[in-house]
Amino acid sequence: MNEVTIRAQELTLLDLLDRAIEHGVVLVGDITISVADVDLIYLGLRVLLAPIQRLPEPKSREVASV
Amino acid sequence: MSSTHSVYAIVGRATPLPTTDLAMVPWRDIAAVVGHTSQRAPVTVDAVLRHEMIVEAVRRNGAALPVRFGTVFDDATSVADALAAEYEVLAADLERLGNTVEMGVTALWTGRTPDVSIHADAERTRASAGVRYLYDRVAEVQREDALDARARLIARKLGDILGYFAFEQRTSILPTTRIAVRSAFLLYPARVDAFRQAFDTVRSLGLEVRLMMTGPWPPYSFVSRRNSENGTVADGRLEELAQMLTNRMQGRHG
Repeated sequence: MNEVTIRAQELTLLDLLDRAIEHGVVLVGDITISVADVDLIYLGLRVLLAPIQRLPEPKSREVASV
Repeated sequence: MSSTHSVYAIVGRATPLPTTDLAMVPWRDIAAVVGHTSQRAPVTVDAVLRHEMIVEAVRRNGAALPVRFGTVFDDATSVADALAAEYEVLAADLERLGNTVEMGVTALWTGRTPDVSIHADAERTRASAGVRYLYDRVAEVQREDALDARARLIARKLGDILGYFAFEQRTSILPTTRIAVRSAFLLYPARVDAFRQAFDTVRSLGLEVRLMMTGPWPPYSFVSRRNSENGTVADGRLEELAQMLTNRMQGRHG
């Protein structure tokens, strides 16, 4: 995979996506979301990535980086 | 199209809701916070952001557990059944995690993954092709081990300083080739400022990585994981989705 520069804002969003999609309370539901028509989402810090330039900035999320 | 119930959080049943757009499905002393949607939510970044905004709004009103994005039920009865099936674990997690937050810390190798030098065996050059292959494999394993050791050293330094402010920590070593360490620290909100200051201290150590901190987040990474996770949205399709998107991005950047 090509190297993709990760900026702080991107990492924040990826961090959120990784958490909300892969973690959190799991309840077995009646319906599973189809990803066949997925309009584009991530993929986490494992696989990277999405069209970052389209991603909105999460609200009130602080990032520190060096 | 029929209405569905998207679940955002697990709360105590007395917790007020932040908006009338949400509803509660109670079971004993806990409840699921649900939103009614007329159709299945598309898997988009905006949808995930909206999910997070709702979770955070709920948590501003009281203790709450974040539910994984994409948890959808046909009706309230099904939600209540799911709560009943997981009640003991949910109640315990709500008590343990409801008022906590997590901070994310990621250590990225600066530039490309560092080149770990392995002493070349002079005999390799005189060996047959088959033996050279074995030499190369040994060198590869040695490089991986060396990289792993460097990542673990970084993780230990992070844990030594930042762990003081947390009462639980989850760490992944070398989750990708770009990332040395990825950690989540569980702490009380009152310690967030101190955690941030400690993070500045870690930065001053001059580690061979770029350090990034995010948060505070709802404690997604610390809820109990159960066997029932098998077959849910993310578990079942995530790898497929990841591969699809990775292929797309490779095409875009290649």
